[in-house]
Amino acid sequence: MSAEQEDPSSDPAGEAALNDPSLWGELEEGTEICPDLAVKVERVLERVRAQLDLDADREYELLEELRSHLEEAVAAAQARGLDEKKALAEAAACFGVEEVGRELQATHVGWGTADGVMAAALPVICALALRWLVFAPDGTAVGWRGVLVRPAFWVVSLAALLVPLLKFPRWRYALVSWVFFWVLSVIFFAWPALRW
Amino acid sequence: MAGKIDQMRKGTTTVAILKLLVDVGEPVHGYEIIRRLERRSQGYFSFKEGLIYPRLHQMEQEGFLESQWLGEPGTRRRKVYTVTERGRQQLDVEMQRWQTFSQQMNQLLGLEAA
Repeated sequence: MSAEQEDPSSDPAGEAALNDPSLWGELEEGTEICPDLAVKVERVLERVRAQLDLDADREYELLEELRSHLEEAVAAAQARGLDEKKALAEAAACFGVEEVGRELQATHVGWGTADGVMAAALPVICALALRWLVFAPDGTAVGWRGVLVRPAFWVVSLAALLVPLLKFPRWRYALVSWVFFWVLSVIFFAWPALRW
Repeated sequence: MAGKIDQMRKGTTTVAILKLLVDVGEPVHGYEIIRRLERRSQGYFSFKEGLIYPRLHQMEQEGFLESQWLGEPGTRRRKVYTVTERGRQQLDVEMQRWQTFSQQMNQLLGLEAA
């Protein structure tokens, strides 16, 4: 925690956030001034989302956690006697919307890159292990029927699926990794004498 | 200099969160962590509340925390955090480091008898 950061208590009612049109949107004449709270929470989250460039599942999970926080903060402010509009404005002001989006992006994008590198490397390593396990050093192959009855093949193929599935937070990587492993395996089976 | 201050801020946040979660001894969600940290510091430390989340996620990536979702999809769900064994070890290291640092500073400033 840092005392040098902006103190939200200097703007307890969140007036700056209240006056921010990107939070509230343009209200047309006749529009209800204080629309549904959930919609306004979504507007705040949209500003966070604008800072993110992650995969959809990750973004959804991040925003769900932030949504839960904002709802708690609004409920607490309302319990202190603020009306809904001011409660949300205060919650948004204390939250640090853009900063949070930038920090979350910085936190998760690095991890995603590492995942990507691992996900790309793993099927290649597994396919090479498979080739080493089931092919003779001179390149002669036992054929795909022979390969399929070898336990080593299934151990490697299961590892190619389970390791990324358990290791990576994104199941799509595991799926892509496994498909990539099978493509390489089929290439090995179909063209056993192929040299890279 | 700004980078060092940022590192210091992250370091102190890490140890504060770890200590809190160890003391509480049960899974706690982000909003509650913020409220408890504020109560503990008696309002001395103020910060943008949302910035706790990148820190929590980074600590989870580092293996200091683990999280789980409570509640069914479609209802209000909460992501709660607990300290891992690695996190406890890190807390011991950080507490020792902090104790040494504060003792040395107090001695340096003449606030504590050597």
